Order: sequence, then structure tokens, then C-alpha cells
Amino acid sequence: MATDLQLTSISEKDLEQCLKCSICTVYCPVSSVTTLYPGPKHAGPDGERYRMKDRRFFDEDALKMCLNCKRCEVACPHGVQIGDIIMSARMKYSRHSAGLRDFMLANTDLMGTVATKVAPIANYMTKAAPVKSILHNVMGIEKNRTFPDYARQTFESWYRKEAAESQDKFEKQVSYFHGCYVNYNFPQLGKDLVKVMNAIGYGVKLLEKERCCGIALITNNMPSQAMRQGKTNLKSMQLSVEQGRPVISTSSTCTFTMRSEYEHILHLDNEVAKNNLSLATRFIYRLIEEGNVRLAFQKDFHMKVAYHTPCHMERMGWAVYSTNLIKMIPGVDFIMLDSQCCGIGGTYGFKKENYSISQKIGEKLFHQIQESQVDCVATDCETCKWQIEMSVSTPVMNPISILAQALDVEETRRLNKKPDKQD
Amino acid sequence: MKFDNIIIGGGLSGLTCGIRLSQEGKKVAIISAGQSTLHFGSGSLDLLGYDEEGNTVEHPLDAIDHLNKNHPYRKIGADRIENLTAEAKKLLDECGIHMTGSVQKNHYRITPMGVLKPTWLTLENYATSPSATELPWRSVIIANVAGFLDFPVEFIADGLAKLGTRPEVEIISIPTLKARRHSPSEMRSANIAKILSSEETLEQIAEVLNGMEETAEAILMPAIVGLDKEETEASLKQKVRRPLLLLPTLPPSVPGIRIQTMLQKQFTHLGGLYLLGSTVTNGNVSNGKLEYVMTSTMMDEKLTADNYILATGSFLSDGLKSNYERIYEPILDLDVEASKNRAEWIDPNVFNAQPYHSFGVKTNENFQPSLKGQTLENMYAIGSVLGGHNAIHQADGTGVSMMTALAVANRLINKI
Repeated sequence: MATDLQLTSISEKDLEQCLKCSICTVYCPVSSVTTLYPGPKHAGPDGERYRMKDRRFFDEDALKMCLNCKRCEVACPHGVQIGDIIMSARMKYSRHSAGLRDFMLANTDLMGTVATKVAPIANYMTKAAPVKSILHNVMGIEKNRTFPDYARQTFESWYRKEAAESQDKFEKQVSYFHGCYVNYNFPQLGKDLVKVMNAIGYGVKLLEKERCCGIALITNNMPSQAMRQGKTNLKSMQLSVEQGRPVISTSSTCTFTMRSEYEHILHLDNEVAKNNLSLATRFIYRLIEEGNVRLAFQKDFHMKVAYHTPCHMERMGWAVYSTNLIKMIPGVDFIMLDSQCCGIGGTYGFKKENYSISQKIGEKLFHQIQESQVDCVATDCETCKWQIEMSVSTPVMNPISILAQALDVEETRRLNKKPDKQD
Repeated sequence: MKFDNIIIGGGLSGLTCGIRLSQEGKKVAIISAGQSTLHFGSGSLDLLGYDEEGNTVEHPLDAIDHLNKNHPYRKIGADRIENLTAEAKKLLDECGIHMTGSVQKNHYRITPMGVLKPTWLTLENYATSPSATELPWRSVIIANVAGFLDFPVEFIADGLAKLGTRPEVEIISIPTLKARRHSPSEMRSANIAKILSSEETLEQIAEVLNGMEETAEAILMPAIVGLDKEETEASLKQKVRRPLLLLPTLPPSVPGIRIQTMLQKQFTHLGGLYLLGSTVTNGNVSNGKLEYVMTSTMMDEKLTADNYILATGSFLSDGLKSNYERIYEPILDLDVEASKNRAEWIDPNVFNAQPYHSFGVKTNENFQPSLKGQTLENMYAIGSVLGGHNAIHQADGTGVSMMTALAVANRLINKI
């Protein structure tokens, strides 16, 4: 046999594996509701063939319509990384740098640091009609969108004051990648995580240095900043792992970004994340499954919960961990919602030009939630939470917060305490 | 994670088997590497359309005994097939997939090329004929949507004319569909069906169809309604004065997607776990038993079960693969029935039965595969990954999927 034969696919992101079967186009939430987007097949592998020949085939306005949900990749029977092809093309061929609006939306760390310092004013401002009107007309940030409130105290500063000291007494430790949302907007989720982990006998540490995972920088085409932040996070994770602490997160998108986008879009060596970064629900579920942890629940806890699968959760294939964990709670009446995009796409739905598309995409999900008559929707993504809470009146909780509410902390602590060790 | 049964592959065979097992209270996981070939479906399920010589089969049950002994139907036995077809029909009904047809006698579906093919069951509201040589109408209107290219009307019109039916072609549209043409690459059946899901658009389409001259007996339309539910088709039919029937289109297939969706809903409703977008990468075999499988998405998580069912499909679905040297099954490298001589894989005449279409995983009478000659006690193979039949040449693919799925499920249910 000739030795120079090409035996396997060598195309980047498995471009050559595309059979043109069009299955991906059926599951694209964007092309289902607008003709402005030519769909994943055309924007992805089809278009890339042309772009490889001549960059003039790069249609930035069309490709910008992709909300990076990766549902095309989940549907593809041949493993073509369609979403990655589209996102990489934007980085590779675009000659535009991000404008002020996109810069502000993507720099969650910077905005959060400033806003939490003046949280009451910032929260008032983002609700005030004249401000919203300026944001809408001048900046292009949709006026009908509700902004998440900023917290008066960041999670990190709460942690340092209230929790850090007591974590050392635990023999087993994890590091918590809290993400921007927990830090600046919703520290309660971080507090819930500490509560649950402590109850099962794990101390929670912060990473030496944590930066925003960078997903918004990737989707808003700011790759060099995303890479800088990515490297910082990976370095901190490496240090944490060397010190015997695996890393957990409560955000499906942060987790997905560092496990997958770092490698596929930013070309960072993220082995440390792939091997040691887990979603908190997965981490806890597996401890229970292996018989290393037991949970005890309050007898009088009752909640009707519907789980919504965030797009990046669907792509990771980990929804089963969150849902299995919720289903373990005896007082929970559980409903699984159809897996479909809520429409927000991170910063996508905040942009004036995308708002109506974003809401149209979510319609079916909103309808199903309303029909379900649940007490709360559980989901692992903060932007899905904003979108659902804004569009439907049902409150949205992270599974970890539900767990924290349902847990009998004292009893759980007792169950997981080693018999030979006293407090 | 532990299950009673793990099914690798989430298409027609995997879901049929998964539903049957879940009905008996088994804890079942289906792992599916992307969406299935049901997305290329015709809206019909074939049992056996042609014999090995290519002659049309009228009575499929009678023809089974004449198949080669390696054919999956022969392994099940003609006598049991009849019962299994009844079971399959019941299962489909319970999923809300309403089909008509009889195992005693094939009827004929109309392909998107305007040709008649023998088949077993067809979705209600789809055009069929009881005869292989003529259609039930003297004249029909073929009404296609302007800009929808996956429905070659001229071919269909030619085909119908050859069968003695006078076709009239009408190109129709409504404002929302005209607007859809702005993105021609997305002017596809499923996207059109998403538009034609509201009462408002259905009214508009019906108005156009009712405005046509009433010379033809029936209107034939491409399958661009009823993506989520059958009721949408019924609603449109009710609004149109003349008989309205659907014809399958080129992929993606609206009827196929609906069958997939309904089966999947039923499976999860019965408590099954459907993991989409996850590929089984490998597994560990020890003492003639598969101990666990690993997936592309769940890292070091070992998925274990009492029994494993391989329903990964044929070459198109990567259930079988080939390189320059051999045909192989990519997960465990199970024994396959395939010629070792590459020159024998294909017939140079593309219209002849292609040998490679009959290649597949080698199994015993119970559909248990083997590894280096040793039978795997707790593993089964079902559907298109099986060899010994030719879905294209014999029109038996969907039948093999459902029959083998039910045969294996029943064996697992009755064994314990």
C-alpha cells in the first residue's frame, strides 16, 4: 500500500466530515426565526470552504447573527464543530475591532468592579428610563431588557471576611471558580455553594487569581484579551491542582468556555481545565454515586421544579448530573423542559439589533414554563436566568441553591464526618 | 452511572428498543452521537419491498422464507415477524405516530422523484397507492412553494404522468414564505414547516389552494407541515376543500423528524435518559462480557449496564467504518461480515445492489455480536449496523430496525 495516503480527516474542526445533510439547520434557533442569518451549514462548513480561498467571502454581518449556542454541533451526526468554525472565522477574518458597546458588554470584570462600588446608584441607573433610552439610542443596548442588579458586596470580599478562615479545618478542599455573575451580581449562589460543600466535608478556596472566563470577549471578537484572561485562569487552576484542590464552578457557560472554547477557539493548552475543572453539580453527584458522600434533607421541603438545559450544558452533555441531583431531593416534584435555547446567548440578547430575535427564539420555552406551573425553574446558566426571569414571572434558581435550601445541614454534616475526627 | 440497559445509538432501532424496555420498567440510557438518519426518512416504514433478485414483493410475510439465512428476518423467523409488526404498530400508535398499511400486503409510497416504491406503513395524510402501476387519481395538482428547491416538481410530474395521472404544477406562496426566500440556503422543509405551524399561515395557504381551478381530484403538496405535531396537517386538510395529501421531500425530512421527536418524547416520558451529542468512544470487554462504556462528553465516567445494545447504524451513521484495508466497527472492533478483498466491496454499476450495503456486524441467532470469535453474552446488535440485508436494494431498512429492536427487547424482558 502506498505510504503517502491520507488515512484520516486532517481538516481543522472536522470541516471535511460535513456531508451537507442539513440536519444542523433544523436545530438552529436563529435561522428558525430570522432570514438575516444563513444558518449553521452555510455560515459554517459551506462558507469556510469559500473563505479559505478568498477572505472576501467573509460576511461579517451574517456571521455575527450566530449566538454561539452550539446546538448545531450537538445535532451533527459527524462531529463537525460547526459553531467553532463560525466563531473562529469571525476572529480570523474580521478586521473590525469591538466598539464601545461591545467592549462594555464583554468586560464583565471591569464593569462589575466599578458597579459594585456604587451598586445602589448603578442599579437605579440601569432601571431609569432616561438612562435606558440613552443606552438604547446611543450605545445600542436594548432598552426593554432588564439588567441584573449589582451586589453591594462582591462574593470575594464576603468570602474573605466571612468564610475564608473556617475553610482550612476541612481535610478535603476544592477551589471555586465563582465567575463574574456570582462575584458582582449574585453572591448568594457562592454562599450557597460554600454551605453545601462545607456540609459534605469539603473546604472551599478561591483561585489565586480569577479573571472572567472570557466567553463574552470571544463572542464580541476580542480574542487577545480573552487569551490573556484564559492564561491567568489556567495558571491559577494549575496551581490549585498542584496543591490538591480540583476546581468547581456553578456556571455551565464558564465551565464550557474553559474546558472547550479555550482549546477550540483560543488554541490555549487547557489540559488542566479538561482534567480538573468540573461543574459543582457533577462533582457532588459523583461523590454521592461513588458512595463517598451522603445527603440528608429537611423533612418539610417541597418544591415543584422544572429544569431548563442551557445550550452550553447541552453541548457538554452534563445536564444529567444536575437533574439527577435535583431528583434526589425527596420533596421535589420534577419536570424536564424540552431542551431548547432561551434566546439570550450571553451578551447577544442585550444588543438592540438582536432583542426581538432573542425574544422570539425563547417563545416556545417561555410558553412551556408558563404551562408547567412550577415554583421555580432550575438551570445552571446565569444568562438563561436573566432571560427567563425577565420574560416569564417564574423565579430561576441554580441547582446548588435549591440543594442549599433543601439540605438538612446539621444532619448532612454528621453523615459525612469521619468517625475518628471531632470538631 | 448504572443502568439496566445502555443503548448506543438514538435512531429508529435504538428508540424502539428503548421504549419497549422502558415500558417494562427498565432503567435505560440511550447515547446518541448527533441526530439520526430518520432525518432522511420518507414518512413510510418499509418491511420488505424487493426480493434478492430485485423483484417487487407484494406479500412480505410470504417472502421472508426465501431470503438468505443471514438476513435478520430469518434469524427472527417469519412466524414471529407477524407478531412483532403488530407490536411495532401498537408502539407507534402509543407514541402518537399514526400510520396506515398492512403487513399482509405492501402498498406503495411516492418518492420525491415521482416513483412508486413498495412499503409497509405510511403516515396518515401522505399520498400512497394500493397499486404498483397506477395512482388512485386521474388528475392532481402538485402545489409547491416558490423557492423551495428540495422538491423537484418536474420529476414528480413526469413520474405521475407515466403512471397515467394528469399532473398540473402550481407554484404558490404567501407573504411570510416570500420573506423566507431572503435566505435561500435556509429555504428548507423544516424551516418552512416552522412558519406553517400557526393557524394564520395555514389559513393563508388554504386560501391559495382553494382559489385554484377545481379541475383536479386531489392536491399533492411537499411535506412542509406537521413538524411538531400531526394535528397541523389535519388542520390544513380541514381548511382545504379538495383532498390534500403530502409527498416526502429531499432531506431534512419533516415526517422523519416528527417520528424521531415523538419516539424520543415517549422514551423520556417513560423515564429513559436520552444523551444527545455524545459519542461512545470505547468500552472494556472481559470474560466475554462488556463491562462498561466511556463517552466523549462524560470524561472518566464509566457507564455500566446489565446489557448493552449496539444500534449505531451503518456507514452513514458511523456505525460501520472503512479505511483502505478493512471494514470495521469503530467502538469495540466487533467481528464483521464483510469481504476482506476491497475490490469486492462495490459493484461498478451504481444501480446494482452494492455489496458493502450488506456488510455489518456479525451476530448469532439472538443478535449477539462477537469479538475475535467470542460471543459477547451481554451485548446485542440491532438495526442497520447488522449485515445480511440491503436496505436500499430490498427496501427493508426500517423494518429490520424495528423488528430486531423488538426481538432483542423481548428477549431481555423475558429472560429475567
